[in-house]
Amino acid sequence: MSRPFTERLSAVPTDRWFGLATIGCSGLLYSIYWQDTLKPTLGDPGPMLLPGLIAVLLTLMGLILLIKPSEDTGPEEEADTSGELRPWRGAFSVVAVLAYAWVLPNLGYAVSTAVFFALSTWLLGRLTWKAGVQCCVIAVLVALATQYLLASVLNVSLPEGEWLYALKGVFYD
Amino acid sequence: MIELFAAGVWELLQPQVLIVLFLACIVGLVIGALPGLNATMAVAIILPLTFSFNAHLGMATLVAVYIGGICGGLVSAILLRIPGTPSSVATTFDGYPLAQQGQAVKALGTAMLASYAGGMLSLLVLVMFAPLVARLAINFGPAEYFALSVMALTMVAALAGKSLVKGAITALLGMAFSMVGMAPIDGTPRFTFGEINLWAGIGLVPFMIGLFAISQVLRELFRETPRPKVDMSIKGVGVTLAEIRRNIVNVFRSSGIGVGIGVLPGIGGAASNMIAYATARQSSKNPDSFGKGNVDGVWASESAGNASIGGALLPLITLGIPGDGVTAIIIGGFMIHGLQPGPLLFTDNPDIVGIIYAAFFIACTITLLFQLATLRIFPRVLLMPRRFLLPAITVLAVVGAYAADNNPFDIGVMLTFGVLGFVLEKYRYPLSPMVLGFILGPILETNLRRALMLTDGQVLPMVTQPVAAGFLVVALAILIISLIPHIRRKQVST
Repeated sequence: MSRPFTERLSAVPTDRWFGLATIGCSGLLYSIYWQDTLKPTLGDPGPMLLPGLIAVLLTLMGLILLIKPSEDTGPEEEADTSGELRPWRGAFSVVAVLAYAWVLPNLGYAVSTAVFFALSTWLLGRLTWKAGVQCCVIAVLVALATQYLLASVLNVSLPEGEWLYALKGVFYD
Repeated sequence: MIELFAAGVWELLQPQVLIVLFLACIVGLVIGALPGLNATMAVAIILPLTFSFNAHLGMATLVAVYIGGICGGLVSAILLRIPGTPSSVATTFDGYPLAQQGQAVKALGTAMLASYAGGMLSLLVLVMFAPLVARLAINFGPAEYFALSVMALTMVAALAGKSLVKGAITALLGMAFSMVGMAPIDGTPRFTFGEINLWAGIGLVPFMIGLFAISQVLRELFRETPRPKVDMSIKGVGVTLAEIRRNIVNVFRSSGIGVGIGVLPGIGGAASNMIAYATARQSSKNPDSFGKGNVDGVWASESAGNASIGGALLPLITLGIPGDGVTAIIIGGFMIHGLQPGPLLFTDNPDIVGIIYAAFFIACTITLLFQLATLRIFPRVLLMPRRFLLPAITVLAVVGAYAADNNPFDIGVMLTFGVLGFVLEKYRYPLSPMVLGFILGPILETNLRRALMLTDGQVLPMVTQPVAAGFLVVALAILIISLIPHIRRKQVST
């Protein structure tokens, strides 16, 4: 009896998928290359000469992986079994990082860093109310101290927060 | 030249001057250690402060900040896997694994001594052979630059690890990412997909921080690895005499690479440390130990990174041509003090030449002494609980990516490369060839196009020029030598 499709799919070496992805990348490069009206020649190389060459080489490498996957193909975890997997907390922390990156230009450095730091230190530690309060206090101190160090001492330009600016405008107007 | 150097040292050995140079080194070290902030930014911040100084003190201060800025990058590279400056990218490859094995003090000590050795060797070249080397460098045309880039790219074979194909793929992807934005020469926008923020291309800082720091944070978020122990019982700086003896050739070779690449305008320390690392790995009897905490890799990377400072100063002093972004700003310092760098500097203001040499020597020494004095303080960062360390690294990385160009878009770029780095490393695709491809891509493309235009599309005259041909022959030899172990491994396995 033949194996189910999903089982057969998961048995495909990862390198074959990477080989397909590499060919996909080179396909993207090619498609942009062909859209460009100025085709490169050696006398007038133009801006698509090297991308064209890279696309050819990527296709070649992708085909090699597809035909003959590397022996060193498994995910890292197979070799490294130390540590405990914490996918849920990891996923929440990743969402926190993404949210931090998104709100930083809008809320400014101090507010967004304090919120991010408090939330992620709490998520990665003990999930109790007491720990939450501790994390909040530390986060506010870290955010203010690093803002002073970076902006005032080292003269680094930090995002000031478009939303805060807009809010300020509402109150002053 | 030696008289000028001695006179300069004598003049700078005044208590007040030494205090100013000490502070300048510390400012450079702090800024260099922070991701996203580099030596260029440190010199730019300090430049206005030197307006009120006399020319000697002003130039000495700028050189001191430059040296501090380059040396500072090693701390975050080793402890957090965040290359503080592009010159310390390769330091992360072995420095970080050493720190994770409890050898942070040893890794830092090695890196500090290596950067001092690289700095001193490049100073020696600067003092002894400055005009000669500068004259050689100025004869480099597009064909030579192209051939040099090809030679440097063959180092991918050394950085690839077990699978050459995987190394080649990441190097090509790195080159493809460097093509995003305005094309060199004609300024045609490519691969921008209508996004105006991509017109200037993908920045090196968000690319590097994402690939190394964010990918590491993601790994740690999904798998709680045991915290590394920090062995504080190590005596001295943790570097043994046997290691120093074993690495003498490595340091000389890497410093030579650092000076040689630093002297060529537009390439700089970002490429030199990678190439020196790859060369060290290739010449090692135990190449498989590289990337897993081999101190030889730290010696190579750091000595080359610091040696490129001397290399970059060389064309600046002798020809008035900046070798990198920092020396371009230092030219501003020259002009503010009414000085003109270039051949006339040696006849009109030889004292300034001596001061720059002396400041180089004194700043390297101050930086080393300060770093050694604080050697056991920095590794304590690793003892910080993971729940504080990971958010702190993320905040540093986000600020670094933003501060490089004050563009929130770069934070998204950094996160994208963080995810890509995480996936690639998970499936054992090496990241170092990707960085090499990203750094060398634009240099290779610009010079290939220039060379082809100069020869009317004729490839033969381009590759048969003596220096270019020499580089290409060396490239071929490197490729063959790198392929031998892979072929042998295959034969053994079959």
